[in-house]
Amino acid sequence: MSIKNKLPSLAQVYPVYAIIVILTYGWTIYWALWKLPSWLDFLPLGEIGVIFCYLVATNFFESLLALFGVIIVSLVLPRKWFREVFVSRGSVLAASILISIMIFEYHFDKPSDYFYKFPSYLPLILLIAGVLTFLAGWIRMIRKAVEVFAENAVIFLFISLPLSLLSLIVVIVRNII
Amino acid sequence: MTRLSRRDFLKLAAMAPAALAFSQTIMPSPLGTDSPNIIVLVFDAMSADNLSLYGYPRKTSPNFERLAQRSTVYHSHYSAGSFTTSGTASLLTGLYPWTHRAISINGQVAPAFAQKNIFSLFGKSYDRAGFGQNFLAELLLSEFRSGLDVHLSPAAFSVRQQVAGTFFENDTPASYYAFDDFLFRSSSSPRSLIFGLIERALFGFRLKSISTVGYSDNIPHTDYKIYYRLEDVFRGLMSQVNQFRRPFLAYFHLWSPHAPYIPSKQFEQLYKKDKWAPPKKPNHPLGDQVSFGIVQYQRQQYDAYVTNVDWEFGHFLDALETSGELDRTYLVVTSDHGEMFERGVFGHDNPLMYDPILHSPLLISAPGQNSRSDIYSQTNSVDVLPTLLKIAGRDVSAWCAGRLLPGFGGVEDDSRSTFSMDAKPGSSFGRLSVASVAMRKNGYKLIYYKGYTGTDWFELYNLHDDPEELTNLFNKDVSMSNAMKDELLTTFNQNSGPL
Repeated sequence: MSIKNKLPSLAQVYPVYAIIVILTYGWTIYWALWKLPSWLDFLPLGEIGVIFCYLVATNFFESLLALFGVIIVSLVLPRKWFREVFVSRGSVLAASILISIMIFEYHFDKPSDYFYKFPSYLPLILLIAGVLTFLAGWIRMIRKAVEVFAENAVIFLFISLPLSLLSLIVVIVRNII
Repeated sequence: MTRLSRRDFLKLAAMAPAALAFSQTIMPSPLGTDSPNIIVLVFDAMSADNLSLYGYPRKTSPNFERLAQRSTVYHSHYSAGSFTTSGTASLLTGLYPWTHRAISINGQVAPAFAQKNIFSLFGKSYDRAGFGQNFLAELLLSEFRSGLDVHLSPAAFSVRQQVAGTFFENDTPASYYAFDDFLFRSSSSPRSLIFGLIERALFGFRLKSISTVGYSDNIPHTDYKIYYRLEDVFRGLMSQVNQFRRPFLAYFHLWSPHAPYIPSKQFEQLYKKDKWAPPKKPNHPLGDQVSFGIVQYQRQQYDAYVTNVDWEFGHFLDALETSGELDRTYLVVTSDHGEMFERGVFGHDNPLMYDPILHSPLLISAPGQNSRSDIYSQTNSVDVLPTLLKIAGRDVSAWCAGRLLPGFGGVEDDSRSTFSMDAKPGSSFGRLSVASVAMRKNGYKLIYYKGYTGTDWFELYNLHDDPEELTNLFNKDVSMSNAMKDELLTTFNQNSGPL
């Protein structure tokens, strides 16, 4: 079977990407809103806007990285297991891993934790993600629910993509000039 | 002697422009001017109260004392700010914090005053260099970078570092704020979900390979993923000094002896068994209420670290002397603020205005100076900028809050009022509604705590009779209290309005 047959269509990719965007951008924006009052104390609004551009541009690249990971899984696994139910299984796979990382990051902050502890947590994270991903394709009700949610989440891409493009332009221009 | 052929002559002639260009990049240009070189060396969080130079019972600063033998030593020098941002901004602009408004952690000088910094005022005839190993000082140097010819990375001379903002060097400090102070800030969870995980794991891996030879556990490091050895930093700075075009102004702001206090093995046991203990003082309501034992342990660590820093500074001093640099350079040694180990507090992250947190060392060694001069009248960090401008032959501008230091054109004047201030909790742009202010005059110090609790209050100390600031005279010496209170409130109210 050719690689092309295992690649998801764009219509399948958008909902999965939307789930990734909600989680990656959401995590950063959540913390940025906590930080905002402190920034407002000493930074002009324009400077805060520039900082947000850096944050959004970073989120854009990390969301693409996460999407790339899901597509790789689709290429590796048999078409019937993943490609045919890409929206539900891709969304659940991405969400379960990203939420696991969130929980880890919420509880640990030392670099040594990330170097020593995270690898020991990784098998557990992958096991949970694997089970949830399997269930998301296997149980029809879950599959449908995930698909409906992910397809509705695409609306966020209409905000995140132009914002990311604008942020990238701002970052590039400020670093060239 | 071998004769030079025509072919060899042509080869040499062709190499001449390249050789000329090379010599200009690595060799300092000759002293073709009368303007003196100036090195400002700032030790972050070094309190004069903990230096044997100023009478501290532990022998913490033999090399500062050695420098003092050829310097003007200021005994009552106080920082205008109580932490790096405000203290450094006052040093570099000659303005009090209520004017420059770099009063928040990570804050910067208000745009109206940003160009009134020492580097811009010195002008292009000087080679102007800045190194801020402390991220907060680096934020200010980034703001002033149009006045800098050489802007060293805060991670320069480090053993390991992971400062993401430096990859965007054309857009600091915004990139520092975004990456190093937020997305990858080391003291909190990563704010970037995936890259944060990768960045931190990578740093954990890289930390493993740091050699801790000479140290018990870890080598000195800053809050922002910069690990370094003091000897490397001083060696690196000396190498920079050798490369500057003459005349030069070099501002070197070192992290040490800022916390974490990490003396090398050679120094860490130094004061563990001595019997000395400072006078016990009551806890302050705005302090951290830490036990006396913990505060004492931290003081011991700090003193050992200060001694270690002094020892490494001694090598730097040796190098300056050996190279003859000290005979053609003004060396200014000071700190941005002090450090406190009393009243249930250690460190400087608090609103208190006692001397340990504000009393800064200041030594100025003039080129060729070979005797010691002591100045006992009060001076303030805002005085450093006008003095250096005068030394460099620049006009001392009227907007500057400082005066010329005694010994460099100024006069000793204890009847003058000087101020120190902290207003971290509030906005830099609005009215300063939460602040602590200290005013010194005629040997008295009045402290004003505004907005921290329901009631504002004052403390008055006679620094001559009560240098430990133990007896609050505010309700006892009513005439002095009222006179100083009126002046402090008038000055504060004039300056604390919104920008």
